[in-house]
Amino acid sequence: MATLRDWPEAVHLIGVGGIGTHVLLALIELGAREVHVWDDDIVSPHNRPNQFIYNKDDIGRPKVNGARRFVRSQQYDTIVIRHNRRVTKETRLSGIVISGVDSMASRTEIWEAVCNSGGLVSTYIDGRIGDDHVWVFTTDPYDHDKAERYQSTLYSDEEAADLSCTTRQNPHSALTVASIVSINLSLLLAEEPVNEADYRILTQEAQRNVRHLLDVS
Amino acid sequence: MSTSTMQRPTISITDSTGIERSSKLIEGQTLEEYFNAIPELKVPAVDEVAVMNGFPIGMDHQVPAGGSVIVGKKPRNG
Repeated sequence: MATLRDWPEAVHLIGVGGIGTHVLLALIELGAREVHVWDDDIVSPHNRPNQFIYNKDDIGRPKVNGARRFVRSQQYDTIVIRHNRRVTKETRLSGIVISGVDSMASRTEIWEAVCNSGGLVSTYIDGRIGDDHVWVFTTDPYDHDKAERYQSTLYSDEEAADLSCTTRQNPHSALTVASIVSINLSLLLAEEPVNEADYRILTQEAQRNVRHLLDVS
Repeated sequence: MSTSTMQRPTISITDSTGIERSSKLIEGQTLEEYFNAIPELKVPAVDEVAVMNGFPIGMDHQVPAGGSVIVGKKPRNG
C-alpha cells in the first residue's frame, strides 16, 4: 500500500481542533513525513475531552505547540511544522490541504488561498461537523467542474445551522471526518477516484430531527 | 414520455414527526414542484440544505428516480 512517506508534495492541516487532531493521527498513520499545522488558537480546558492530543500542560498554549509536543512525545517519525496563525487568502499553500476549521468565513479564505496557489495545491479536503451532521468535500481545485461544485457548497456563517461543535458532543462526528479523510487519502495514494462529497447524518435521533429524508425509488 | 416516467416512481418520505408517506414522483419534476405538491412539507429553511449525492441541489433541480435527497442542516464547525 502506498503511503504518504513517499508522497512528493507537502501536507497542510488547517485547524487542530475536533477534526484536525483526529486527522493528524490519520496523517501520522499514513506515514506523512512532515505536516504543516496551521492554527491561531490556544488550548482551552474544554478542548481536552475531545481533542485528545492535548494535555494539561498545553492549556493556555498554542494548539500548534501542543500538536508538535504530542507527536514528539509519541516518538512518531512525522515532523510537525508549526504555523501559529490563521490562513488568509494571501497564504501560500501547496500539495494536499486539509481543513477542519470552525467557521465558513475561514473556509472561504482558505478556498481563496487554494485558488491563489498558482496550481500548487493538488487536493483540497474540507471537513465540516455540527452535532451529528458531517460533510466532507475532496476536490481538485484545478479541475474546473470540481472546483465549481465545491464553490457551490460555501455559505455564510449566518446561513449555517446553529449546531454545536464537538465540545458538547460525542466524538463520532470528528472521528467520522478523520475516517473519510483517511479513506480518500488512501484512494489518492493508490490513484483511485475519491468520493468528492459525503454528507452523513450519523444517528437515528439526528435523522429524526432533520425535516425530510426523501428516498426516491 | 419515457417508460420510467410512465412508471412514476414512488417517493417515501419520513419527516421530523416520524410521519411516513408515499407520493408519486413524476420524472422531471423539480424539487420545488415536489414540495409544493405536498402541503405538509416546507421548503428548506435558510440553515438547511437539500443534498443529493453529497452536493447541494437547488429547488429547480429535477429529482431523478433512483436518487436520494436529504434535507439536512448546514454544518460549519471543525
